[in-house]
Amino acid sequence: MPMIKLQSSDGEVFQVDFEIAKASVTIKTMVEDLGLEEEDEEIVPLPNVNAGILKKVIQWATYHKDDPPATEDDEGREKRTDDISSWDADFLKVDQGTLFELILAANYLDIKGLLDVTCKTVANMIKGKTPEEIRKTFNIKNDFSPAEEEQLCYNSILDDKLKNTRLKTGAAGTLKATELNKIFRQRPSIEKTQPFRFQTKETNDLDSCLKHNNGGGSDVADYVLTVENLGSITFVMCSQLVNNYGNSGDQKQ
Amino acid sequence: MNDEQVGFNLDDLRKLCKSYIDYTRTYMDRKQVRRINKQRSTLDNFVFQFSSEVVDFSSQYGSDISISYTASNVTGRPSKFPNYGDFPQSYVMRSYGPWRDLAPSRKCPIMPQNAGRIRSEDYIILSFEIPVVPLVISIFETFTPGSVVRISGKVVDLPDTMAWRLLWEGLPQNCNGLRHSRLFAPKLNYIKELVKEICIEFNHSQLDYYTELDAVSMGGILKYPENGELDIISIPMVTHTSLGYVYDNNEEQDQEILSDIRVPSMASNIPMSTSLDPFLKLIKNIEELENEWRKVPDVDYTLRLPNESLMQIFSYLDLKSLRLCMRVCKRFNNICTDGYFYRELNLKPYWCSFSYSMLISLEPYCNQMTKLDLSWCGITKGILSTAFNLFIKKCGTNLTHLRLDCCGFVNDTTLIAINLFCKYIKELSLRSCTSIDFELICPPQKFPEMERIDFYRTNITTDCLHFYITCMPKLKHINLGSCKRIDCMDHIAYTLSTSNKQLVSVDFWKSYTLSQTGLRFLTALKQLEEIDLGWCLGLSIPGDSLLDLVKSCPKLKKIIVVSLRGVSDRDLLAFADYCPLLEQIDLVGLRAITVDACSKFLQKCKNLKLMDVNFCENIKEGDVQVWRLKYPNVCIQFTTSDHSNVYHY
Repeated sequence: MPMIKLQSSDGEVFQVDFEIAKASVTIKTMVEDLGLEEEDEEIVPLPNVNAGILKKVIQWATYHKDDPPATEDDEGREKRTDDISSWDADFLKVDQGTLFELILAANYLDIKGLLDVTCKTVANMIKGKTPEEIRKTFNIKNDFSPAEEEQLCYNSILDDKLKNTRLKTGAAGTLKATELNKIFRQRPSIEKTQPFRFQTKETNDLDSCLKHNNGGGSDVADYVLTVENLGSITFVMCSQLVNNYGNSGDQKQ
Repeated sequence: MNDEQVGFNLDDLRKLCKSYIDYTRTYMDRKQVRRINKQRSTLDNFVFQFSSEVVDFSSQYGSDISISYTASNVTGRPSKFPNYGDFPQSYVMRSYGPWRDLAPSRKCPIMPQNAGRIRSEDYIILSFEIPVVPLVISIFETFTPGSVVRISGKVVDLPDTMAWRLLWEGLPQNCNGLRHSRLFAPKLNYIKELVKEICIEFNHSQLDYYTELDAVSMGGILKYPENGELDIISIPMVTHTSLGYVYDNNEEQDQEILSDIRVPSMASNIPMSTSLDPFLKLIKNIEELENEWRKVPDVDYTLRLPNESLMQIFSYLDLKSLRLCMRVCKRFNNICTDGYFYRELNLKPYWCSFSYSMLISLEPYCNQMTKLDLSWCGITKGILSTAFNLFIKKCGTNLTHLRLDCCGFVNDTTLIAINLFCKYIKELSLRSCTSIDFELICPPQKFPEMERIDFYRTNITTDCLHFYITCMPKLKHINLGSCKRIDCMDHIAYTLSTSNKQLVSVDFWKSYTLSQTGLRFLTALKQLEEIDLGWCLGLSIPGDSLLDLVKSCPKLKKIIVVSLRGVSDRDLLAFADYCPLLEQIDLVGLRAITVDACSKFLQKCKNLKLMDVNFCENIKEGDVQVWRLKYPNVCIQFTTSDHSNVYHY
C-alpha cells in the first residue's frame, strides 16, 4: 500500500496511506499533478492546516475510507441534518474552535463528506434557536442598532409604502385604537395624527393577527406588516410569518 | 468525547436510559389513572361523537363515483372494527412503503430540510357535529395501522389562517408485526378552545401495505372549566363494550388499547422495581461530559469562516431558522437574504398558517426561485387566485417546478398565469385541485419544457387535455388517475402516442373509458417505464392489447393491472419475457392467473422487487410461503381474503 507524507502548517509530518489521503480532492490532484511516485520522499505541504486539525482529519478519513464516493448530483441532494452517524456525532463533539477549523480544513482539502457533516453539525446548533440564543451560542456580537433591529422585524420597503399610501375608509371595518397604538409603538415613524383606516378584505385577519399572542408558546413572533397595491384594491396585512407549528419536528423534545 | 474514550456510544446509552424512564413513568401514570378513575364521577358536559363529514382529503384508493375504499367511509360509527382485514368499507389512500419513491415516476424533493423530522404524505379533514374542547381523539385502524403522524384541530370562530392547533404529532410507526386492528388514541396537547374540524396527516413510509381506517371519534367537553383548571386524570376513557364504543370510566376494562405506547423491547425486560437513581445519575454524568464541548466560546469563531462556508451551513436550515438567523447580526443578515436560499421554497409544512402575507414577505428574495411547493396551502383559504397569479407574474419567471396539490385557490386563470409567465416550467402538479373548471380549453402558449404533469382527481375534460398534451412536446410523466370527466381516454391515448413519444410514465388509474383500442395506440411509446392501468374497467378483457403493449415497451419497470380480470397467464409470462427490467407488478384481483404462471414469472424476472397477488383466487398461502423462501429479495404481498386472521377482542 503506497504511503504519502503530509506536512502540517506547523511542520509536523504525517505518513498516511494514499488510499485514505485520496479522500481529499486537493491532495489527490496535487499528487497526480506533481506525478509523485511511490518511492518519492517528497512531502506534500499543507500550509493551511495545523497538526492538531490534520490529525483529526486523518482520523475521520481513516474511519470513512470505505464510504462510497460522493455523488456530484447537487440537484436532489438531501438537506436533512438528522442523518449524522453516531460515530461522526461523537467525533464532532469538540470545542467550537476545532469544529470551525475542521470546516476550513475540509473546505481547503476539498473533502465533501467531512464538509457536509461539519456544516450539518453547525446547522443543528442554529436550528430552532432565537437570534439571541444563536448569538449566545457562538458569542456573536449584535451589531444592529436598536432602530435597525426593529426595522428587521418589518419589511422596510413596504413600510415606506405604508407611510406614503393614502388608505381610504373601508367598508369592512376599522382597526381598534388599541391595535393602532400597538402599531404606532412599534413603528414610531408613523405619525399618530394621521388618520389610518384600512380598506381590506382581510380585516378580521389583521385584528386577530395583532391580537394573536402566538398560541402554542413559541419564542418569537415574526410579524410582517405589508401594504400591497393590487390594481385598485389595497391589501393591508399584518401576520405572523411562520406559525409556531410548521417545523415542529425540531421543537419537540 | 468519542466512543474509545468513554467505552460506549453516548447517544445510544442516553436513549436507552430515557426510554426506560419514560416507560416507567407511563406505566405508573396509567396505574394511577385506573385507580383514580374508579373514585371520580364522569366529567360534566362530556360529548363523544364520530365524525360526520369529510371536508377535504389528498388522496383515496377508490374513485369519486364509487363507495369502496373512499374517504367518506371514515364517517359515522365503525362498521368493521374490531375485525382486522382488507375491507372495501374503509378509507384507503394511494400509497404505502417506499415503493412510490422507487418507481420511475418518483418526484424530486423540494427543500426537504423544511419538512422537519415528521413528514406527511396525505391528509384528511373531518368535521364533527358538535364543537368540543378535544380531550381524546381515537382513530379506528382496521388494517396495517401506524401511519398517523399528526392531528390538528381547527378552532371555531377564528379565521382559517389562525385556527389550526397542533393536537398531537409523532413519527410514523412500524406496526407491521401487529396483525389486528388498533384503536389509536394518542395523548393530546390540551387546548382550551372549541374544535369542530380535525385534520389527520399520514406518512405511509413504514407500512408494509395500505392502511385502512374505519372511523374517527372525538371526545371532549362543551366548555372549558370556568376555573381554568382541567383535571386531566379524570378524563373518561374510550372503551370497547359489546354494544359499541362508549366512553366509560367506571367499568374495569383493559386499557392497553387506549394509547399505543411502544417501547424498545429491551426496556420492557428491566424489572419494574429497579430504582431510577443510577440511570438519572448516569445521564447527569453524560451531560456533564457533554457540557465541555457545549460551553460558549470566548471568541466568535464564525468570523473565521468565509461567507461561502456560512452559506453552506445555512443551506441546511429550514425556512423558519433561516428567518431567525437573519436577525443575529449584519453579516448573517446579508448572507441569509441571498436569493440562493430561496431558489427552492416548500411551504407545505406550514400549510396550517399559510396566508398571502407569508408569500408576500418572501417575495423580495424570490427572484431566483426555481422550485415552489405550495401543496395543501389552500386549506386555510389564505390567498385568492388573483393574488397568487400576481405572485407568479413577479416571481415565476425562473420556475421549473410548481406543486399546487389540493389548492382550492387554483382555477382556470391560474393555469393561464402559469402558462404565460413560467416559460421554463418542467413540472406542474395539480393533484386534487378540484376548483379548476378547465373551461379555457386552449392554452395561449406552448409549455416547451414541460416534463411532468399531474392531473390526478381534477375535472379536466377530454378536449382540454388534448390541447394541453399537444403543447408539451417534452412530456415524460403524466398522471390522469381518477379524472372522471374524461369521456374518451382512447382519444387521449392516441394524442399521447403521436405528440409525446418521450413518455416514461403514464397513470390511467380508474380511467373507465380506456379500451383495447387506446392501449394499442400506446405501443408507439417506446420509452415507457411505468404504466398504471388499475381499475380501468374498459380493459377488463384486454385481449391481445396488453401483449402488444409489453412487446413494444421493453423498458417497463412497473406495471399495475389491478382488477383487470381478463389478464391471463399468457399476459403474465409475456411481461416476464419482454420486460426484463420489471421491478414492481400489481396483480391484485386477477382471478385467472395460476400458481404455475406466477412461479415461472418469478423465476424469469430477475429484477423484481414487489409483486402484489392479493385476491388472486388461484393462489394459496402455501404457494406464497414457498415463493417468499425462494425469492427473498422480492416483496410478495398476499393477505388471505377469507379474513382468517381477523382478530377478535
